[in-house]
Amino acid sequence: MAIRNLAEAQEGQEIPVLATEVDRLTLVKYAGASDDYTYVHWDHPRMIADGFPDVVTHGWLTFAYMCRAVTEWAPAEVADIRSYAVRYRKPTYPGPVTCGGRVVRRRHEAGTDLVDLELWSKDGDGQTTTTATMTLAGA
Amino acid sequence: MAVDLAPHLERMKKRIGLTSAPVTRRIELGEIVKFAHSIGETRPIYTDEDYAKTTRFGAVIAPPTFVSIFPPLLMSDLLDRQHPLGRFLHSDDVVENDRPICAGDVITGVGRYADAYVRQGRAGALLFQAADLTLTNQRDERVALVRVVSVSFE
Repeated sequence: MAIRNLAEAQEGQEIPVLATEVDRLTLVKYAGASDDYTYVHWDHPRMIADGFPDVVTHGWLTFAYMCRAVTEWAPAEVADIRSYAVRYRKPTYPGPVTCGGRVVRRRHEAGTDLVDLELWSKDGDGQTTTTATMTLAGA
Repeated sequence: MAVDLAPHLERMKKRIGLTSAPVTRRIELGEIVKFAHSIGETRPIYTDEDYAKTTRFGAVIAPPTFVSIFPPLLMSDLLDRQHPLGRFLHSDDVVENDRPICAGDVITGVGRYADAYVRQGRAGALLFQAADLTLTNQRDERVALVRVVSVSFE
């Protein structure tokens, strides 16, 4: 499933989908590991009072899953993540998460293979919560 | 009644260029492993020193979004909270990655207030604030440039 070098990537190719589940315990572990104690991720009473249906998943955690989908397809041994732009379109609440994407362009610059990706993450209702563009460079 | 954000935006535009005090952190293997596990990542390049030594990096590397430990350290002093919009969320991140963070690296982060702007959303005004965080390692090499954008709303 993982490619062995970036030259194997084909334009239009879909990367394998990653599926996982986030619960409030995941958010606690991630908050501790990333030192992000922003209340929106753990203060349930305050979030309900503010009109949210639940605490929200850290944007960076959703994007971490999107990066895992990419690196399970193009591992760090094989490609570097050169750049990315992520947009958090809708708050993501604890629940099922799927992440995927596709190769939109292959290019070659200064002797290096580059691949441009479009990435997405969806919640349990199939709504796209997060999108990103990313460029990988061959190792 | 709609909030008049113009004076707040004017105040925020004056912050552009303001920098945070630098923050320096030594990144140990244990912290990288704990972060990897928290995102469900268990592969050896992110967790196993013996394996990682055989790779082109020569050391365990942090998963790509490990740079996210720096925004909480650098953003809170930079962002303007004197506006009346009580709720906020993370809006965008734009990152240039020059090299991975390796176990044992000493990373210095500096934040700079980059921009503030207002857009009209479906439910009212959206106030965006952006900060650019520059991370460098112990060899003074740039590791990453991270633009973090937050959005505030009623």
